[in-house]
Amino acid sequence: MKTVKKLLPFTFWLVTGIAVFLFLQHYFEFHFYYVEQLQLFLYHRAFLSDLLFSFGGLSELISRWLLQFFIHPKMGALITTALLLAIAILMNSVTKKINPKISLILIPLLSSVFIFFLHLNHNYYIAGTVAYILALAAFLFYLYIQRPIANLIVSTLFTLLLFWWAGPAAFLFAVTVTLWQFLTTRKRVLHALTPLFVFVILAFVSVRLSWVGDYRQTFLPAIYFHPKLTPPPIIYFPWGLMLLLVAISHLLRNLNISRRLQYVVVAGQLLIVPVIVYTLIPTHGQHSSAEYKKMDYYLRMEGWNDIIEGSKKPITNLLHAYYLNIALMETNQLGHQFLMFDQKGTKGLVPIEDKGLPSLVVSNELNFTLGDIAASQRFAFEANLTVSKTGSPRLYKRLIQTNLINGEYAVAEKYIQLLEQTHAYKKWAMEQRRFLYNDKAITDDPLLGKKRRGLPTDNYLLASHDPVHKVNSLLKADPTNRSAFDYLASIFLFEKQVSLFIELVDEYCTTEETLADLPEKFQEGIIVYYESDPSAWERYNVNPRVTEKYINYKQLYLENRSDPRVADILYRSFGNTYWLYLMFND
Amino acid sequence: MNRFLHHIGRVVLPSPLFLVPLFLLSIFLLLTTCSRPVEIVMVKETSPTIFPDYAEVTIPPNIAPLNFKLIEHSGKAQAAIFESNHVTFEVRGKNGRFHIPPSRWAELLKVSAGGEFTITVCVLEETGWAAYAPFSVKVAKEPVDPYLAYRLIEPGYETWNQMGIYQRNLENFTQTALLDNRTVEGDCMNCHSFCMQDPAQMMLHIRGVNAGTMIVIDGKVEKLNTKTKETMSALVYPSWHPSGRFIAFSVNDTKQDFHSIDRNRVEVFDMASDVVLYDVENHEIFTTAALFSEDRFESFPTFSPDGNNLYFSTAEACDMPNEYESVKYSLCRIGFDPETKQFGTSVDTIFNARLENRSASFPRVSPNGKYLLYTQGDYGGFLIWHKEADLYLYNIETGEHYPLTLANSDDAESYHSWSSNSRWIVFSSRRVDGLYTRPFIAYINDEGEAEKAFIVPQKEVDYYDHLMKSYNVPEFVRGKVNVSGYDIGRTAKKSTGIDVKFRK
Repeated sequence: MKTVKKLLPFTFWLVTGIAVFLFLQHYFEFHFYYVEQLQLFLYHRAFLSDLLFSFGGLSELISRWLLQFFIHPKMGALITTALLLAIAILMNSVTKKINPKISLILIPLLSSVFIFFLHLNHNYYIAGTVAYILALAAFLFYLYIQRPIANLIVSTLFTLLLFWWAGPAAFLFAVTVTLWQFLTTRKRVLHALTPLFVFVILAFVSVRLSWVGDYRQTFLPAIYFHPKLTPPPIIYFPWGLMLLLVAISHLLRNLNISRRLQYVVVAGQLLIVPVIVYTLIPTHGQHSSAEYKKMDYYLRMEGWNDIIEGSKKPITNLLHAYYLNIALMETNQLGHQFLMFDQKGTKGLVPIEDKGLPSLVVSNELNFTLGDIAASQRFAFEANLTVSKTGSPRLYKRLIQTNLINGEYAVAEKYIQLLEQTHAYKKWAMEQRRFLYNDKAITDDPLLGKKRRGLPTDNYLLASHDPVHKVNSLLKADPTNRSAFDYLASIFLFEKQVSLFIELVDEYCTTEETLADLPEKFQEGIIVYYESDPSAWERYNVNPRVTEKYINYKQLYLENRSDPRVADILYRSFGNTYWLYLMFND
Repeated sequence: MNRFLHHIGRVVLPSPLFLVPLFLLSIFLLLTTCSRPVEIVMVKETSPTIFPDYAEVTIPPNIAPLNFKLIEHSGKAQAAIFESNHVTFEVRGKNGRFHIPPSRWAELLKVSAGGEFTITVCVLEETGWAAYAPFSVKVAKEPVDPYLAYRLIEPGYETWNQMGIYQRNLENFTQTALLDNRTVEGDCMNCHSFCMQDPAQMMLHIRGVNAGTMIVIDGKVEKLNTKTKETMSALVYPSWHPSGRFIAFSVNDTKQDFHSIDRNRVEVFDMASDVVLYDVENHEIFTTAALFSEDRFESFPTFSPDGNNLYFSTAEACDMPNEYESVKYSLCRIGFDPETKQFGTSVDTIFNARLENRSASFPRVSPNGKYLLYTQGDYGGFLIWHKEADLYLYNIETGEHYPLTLANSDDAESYHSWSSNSRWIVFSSRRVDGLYTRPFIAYINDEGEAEKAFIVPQKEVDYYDHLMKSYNVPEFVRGKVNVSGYDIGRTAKKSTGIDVKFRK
């Protein structure tokens, strides 16, 4: 019985851990891959010492070291589970130490729940979690010290160390110690206030010397959130819960309840947790970005078919449409699948220019696919600057590629050198060295060589010219650039600029072979333009099947043109045709 | 237990104690080998390839040690022998990197001032120490101003991350923040400028949430709101009047764009610009028709050290951005009377862009009034993004223009400033990797020629390799700026600022 009793807590945490891990892995796998891209961890002395000697340096160092492993399957879920469990176990140990009579498991579990929701927000830095763990561990250690003078020394020393290692979490520690001292030994007021006093001095000096930006960053956990964004209120909840835990544990120290009632209380607390999780999921579950993170992962892994498969449903946002169109271009299907997906028209082809990371990343990707290397490089660089933790590996990879294509070898080498100091990208970076100062290696490479051959031949300023001019320039440089042709043709057809589409076909589809290769939907566009001149259909090598389809379409239209439901009638048989789009799509 | 550990199965492992004497012996051998003086058994004809390239440069007698590395190092060990007439010492390399002890370095510079010393790099090969051909380093008599102020920022286009304006003690490696943007809620900052290299009189702009022009005079920080309805923008490129009473500024409607395929990746240009003067005491700006014309782009003003002339760049207004390649800036000069605040009636052309078919920007007059240093490029004014941009000197006495050949490179050289003794210039150059600007210092000799420039030395020789930020606007300063970033930031955040008025 005793063994069972001893094993119970272990079993509880083990089962909880497994459940959390499976839950995270199942629902948030792509989130972990995504956040791994929002930082860079370098195995370099200067980088490590800069990080360590910054405000909250150790927690930053540990968290970024951990994050680098999120690229490996299941590691994100595993590490996150470990961090969440560590918080709950440490907090539970604190309450057990203060008051072994009653279990307050709800508060430790709720702290982990709030931190779990913070982890789902990719603007949150898990340094905050590590700092919280350090503060908890320090407080637990402090609770075991009995002698007042040793108590004072340890709490002061920990405040100093935590200030350096964990940043604002030192404030949490100092406040918790003060609270504990007030609750337990009210006579030693000076002792109680010493850690807080030390912290305030440290904060004052650090801000004055510009080691820390301002007092807000020194005192509050907001520093663990993207500096240009306002953190959600739940970032403060675990801090509040720690103070609450200490206070309640102490206040209930004399409460005696029966064993049976204890079980009821614990069970009740355990039941509350899933209810709170369920309640918070809609607001903090980051459901809206889940699809985007998945698409983004597939794009990075060049899982074009995964993106296309995942798009066989109504598309709810433009980012998804961009990813779909990129995947279609990469697989040479943009023309062939024209109107077969919810592509969002021209809007899904020309990303909105804003300074947000998703827009910048997708603009970089789209331009790279098209062959506009200058634009791709520009957006990759800008995107990299929005990633506040030393930049993003995927964007450095892109900067290496674009600089190699442009023959800017010295700066490409600089970035290669950087990625060579990483855990996951070292091998890739070392492989890129063979391209440095070696034009032949670039030319012979299927990807870099193709992109270099497709570089525009005439110089122009990017922002001063529209996408049509830009893509035309790419096509002039490389008429075989299928992505660029399909992209421009799609824009013209979406915009119902059929004459421009015909000009494009006339310029770049000059042989029977290229005409025969024209996608069916593009052939439908040719029929539209030459509707009154069927001889041209033959000239353009329009497939007889398409011709016949048009005759049927026209006949059905003429039969029902006075019917207000004509669009629906046509849709039943000709749902994805360009003719229907042209006539009825606004 | 120990025995058990060392007898696994039938294999008997030696005790680690057995290895101790071997380890001590190897340490002893290593130490004795390292401490033995280098005896050169072979001399190579080639020069070593080192980074930074300090061969044949001229340095000031108060510069920090020129730590360097062998780019491709070989051999079991490396050493560098430093030799002058009176001082000789060796520095052992570690992985091809040489860190010179500051005390030996100071001694070497002291005895070499006005002369030179040589550095012989040696590598330990199978047959013994082999020496590369030695190279010399000239040490000028004249010191450089002890501090350098600059902005560190990624060479980005529209976005920025963590950035700041810093000051570096050139006599050692200490860098401190003048203002870090974490202090001002992540705002951008730029255009720091000092009155005649005086650390007590400086200014800078903050752009963003806490926008304003910060003027610092003798520890007092003042915030200005410098956009007026008469001017197209807030104040931009500054230059102090030597008296400290005025600051000349340009106002610019600046745009940035990107080349589709060109050796220059970015193009920065003005849609329009003018030049105005700010009166520090009265918080007002004023100008004259020659500096404030709709038909011309006037920019990059700078005062002569006597304060009686204002130099500036000016170009015919063009249809922008379509004609961006047609914008060519001339260098002009207009008289100015600081007592009456009146401008001269005539404008002298120092450099005629139309005749030369080139463009000149960022004029800076040496404090002794002899030379005007500027950047020359094919077109445009923001030449730091132009690979063809080079530094030129205009001899004010003789009227001669010439390039600073030994200081220039194949890549962009632009923003530059003078030391207070007119012997040193510091400038930004992209020559190291083609993108990230680095600060280079060059000596201006008695003939007005620049000697070979050297990159500002760093304690860690890989520092520039790993730094993903550019050095912007390097400015010599005669001492340390003592006003804190906290004070500047606090004023920027708390003060609503003084509204500058335009005096017609």
